[in-house]
Amino acid sequence: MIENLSIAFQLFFSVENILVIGIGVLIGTIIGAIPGMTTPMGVALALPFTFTMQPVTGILLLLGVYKGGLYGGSLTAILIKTPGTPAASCTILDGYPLAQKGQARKALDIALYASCVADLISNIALILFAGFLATFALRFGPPEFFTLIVFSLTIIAGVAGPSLTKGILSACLGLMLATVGLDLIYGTNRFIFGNYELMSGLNFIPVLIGLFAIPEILDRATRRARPAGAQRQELGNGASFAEFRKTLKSVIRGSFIGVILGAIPGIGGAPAAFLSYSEARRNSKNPENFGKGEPEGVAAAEAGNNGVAGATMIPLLALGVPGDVITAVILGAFMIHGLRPGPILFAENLPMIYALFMGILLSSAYLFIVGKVAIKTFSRVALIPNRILYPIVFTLCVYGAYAVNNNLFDILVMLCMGLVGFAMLRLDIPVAPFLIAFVLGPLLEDNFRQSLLLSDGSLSIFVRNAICWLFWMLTALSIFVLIRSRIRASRTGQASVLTTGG
Amino acid sequence: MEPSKRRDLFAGALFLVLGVLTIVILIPSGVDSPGNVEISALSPEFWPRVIALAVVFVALCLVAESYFLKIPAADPDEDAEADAIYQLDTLPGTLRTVILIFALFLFYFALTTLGVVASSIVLMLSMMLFFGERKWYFIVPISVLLPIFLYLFFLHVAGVPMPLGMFENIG
Repeated sequence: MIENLSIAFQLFFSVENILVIGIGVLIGTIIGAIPGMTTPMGVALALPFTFTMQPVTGILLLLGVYKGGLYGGSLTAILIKTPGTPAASCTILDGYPLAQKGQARKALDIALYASCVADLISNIALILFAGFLATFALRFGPPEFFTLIVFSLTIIAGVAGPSLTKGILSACLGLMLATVGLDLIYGTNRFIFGNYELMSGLNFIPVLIGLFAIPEILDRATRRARPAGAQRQELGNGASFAEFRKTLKSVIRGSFIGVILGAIPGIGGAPAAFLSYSEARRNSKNPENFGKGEPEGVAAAEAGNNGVAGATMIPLLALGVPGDVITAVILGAFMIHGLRPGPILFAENLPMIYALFMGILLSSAYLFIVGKVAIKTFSRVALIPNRILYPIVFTLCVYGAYAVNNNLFDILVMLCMGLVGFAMLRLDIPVAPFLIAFVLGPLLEDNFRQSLLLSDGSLSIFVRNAICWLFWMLTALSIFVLIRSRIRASRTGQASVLTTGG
Repeated sequence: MEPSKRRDLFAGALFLVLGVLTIVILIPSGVDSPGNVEISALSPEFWPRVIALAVVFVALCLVAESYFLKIPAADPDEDAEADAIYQLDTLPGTLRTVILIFALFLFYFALTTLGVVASSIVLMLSMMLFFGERKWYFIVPISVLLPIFLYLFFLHVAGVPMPLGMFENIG
């Protein structure tokens, strides 16, 4: 333990690592603050810049962008009623009314303090639980991993969009695309059609950039340029510690809601923010003030939103299964460096995990510092019109896609995936299940085939123990709940509360 | 029929056709299976076939869903009306999208000749104009400096030389 910690200190304590987390949080906050740029898009665009870094440094940069992005979304939500990220849409409910009362600074301060506390709680949860889960997961063999991935994909497919069927279709498309290349066991061709560029399969990064950045740009072609709507307004005075202390109960409750929902694959920040907000309102002495500029509402929304950040890393680090698009990108970063998160990484490369934990803890402090600066300066970033922003984003996409393999073919893959993503956007099919299935596809197939090799072809291996049964039952239960919620949504005409959108 | 129902029906039909085409044409012609596979589930074509069958089944479910269930109301798009007026004033939305897609693929084919930097400069400039930016003091410096800065970054920091095409000697 002590030896591992000492190696971890050596791995972590470098000027480069300490700087890179701050830079990541800064970039994330700026990206999060720009309406039209999402946090997954920001993490995807930052990924190519990490290729030449040490694994810990590169992953910490991405984590910084992730955490900054979650907070950055609240800046514009409060100031101009435009959430920088979908998860920040709950912050508008009380943040914008506060800004209209001339108390924007107070709302921004409360949002920042709540975000930092929630982030810290989430990070501690990650540190406490990831190791336990990884130790437990050491008992997993191929059938257990197969059933776990089936369960994760079902949840992600179900909650990412308006209907389970569309989510499953999206996931199937991702799984199918992941089969392109040489077969894992026999080494024969699959869907290569004579193109040797496809032999190693489609690269993850051009697929990711194509799916997440290009459709937004194509969609923008049909819309007018977003007016620079932010009026310069008085920010007012900041929040005092006493004012924040009044909201602390909601912040802690919201943080735990974020941690629990964040650890379940597919749920993400937006439902956590809304659940935390509704719980804060339900327990408040003045529920009638919610929606009219109640600081506790801002605090609860931001705590729920940021509480997921560390927790989403629990299934990724402990099981190697990403719960959302951002952790899928971080999984991609691990793989670029030849590492595979999961119980084996805990067993064989513990110092690296500890070094990541140190960086993650430091990111909470950076979030506070960057957030304080951001309140004064970066809120103006939201004024960059899309007509300038999107050409810049496209150029970043091109350079990033090329830099993966120094190969122009990857740019073509990115453009084609952009068209697929655009078609999905128009057909209202969520892209998140596609991408996560694309990342998990080889792992799913590999575990399926390894199981059958172990059992000599008998399917009974997939129900060989209680763990397999548990995952099958959870899968069946989630399908049941999702179908029931879809039927209810049809009756009421309102979108299901279970879905997160996109 | 409501537009959202029509859209879902179209999506279901599209995936149904894709699934059937994959089973009938793509898998037989695109997947090489060795003859000595003892367990059929280990064959290279087994997994793609399972996925394609799942696509067919779920696409049928989507078609049924679009017939029998109401589509829940989406969040209202606050900008929709202004966007519609904008489209009346300029080229129709579909045509603008087609033009942009064409330009992006043209950009890809220009990469081998003009290189990444020169192509990006031309594309950024054109895109900004296409999206409605008219201030030259924004357009020119950003379009020229950003691709050059990124080229230098990837060359010196990441060690990745971007292809310069016919400008290779200048680089």
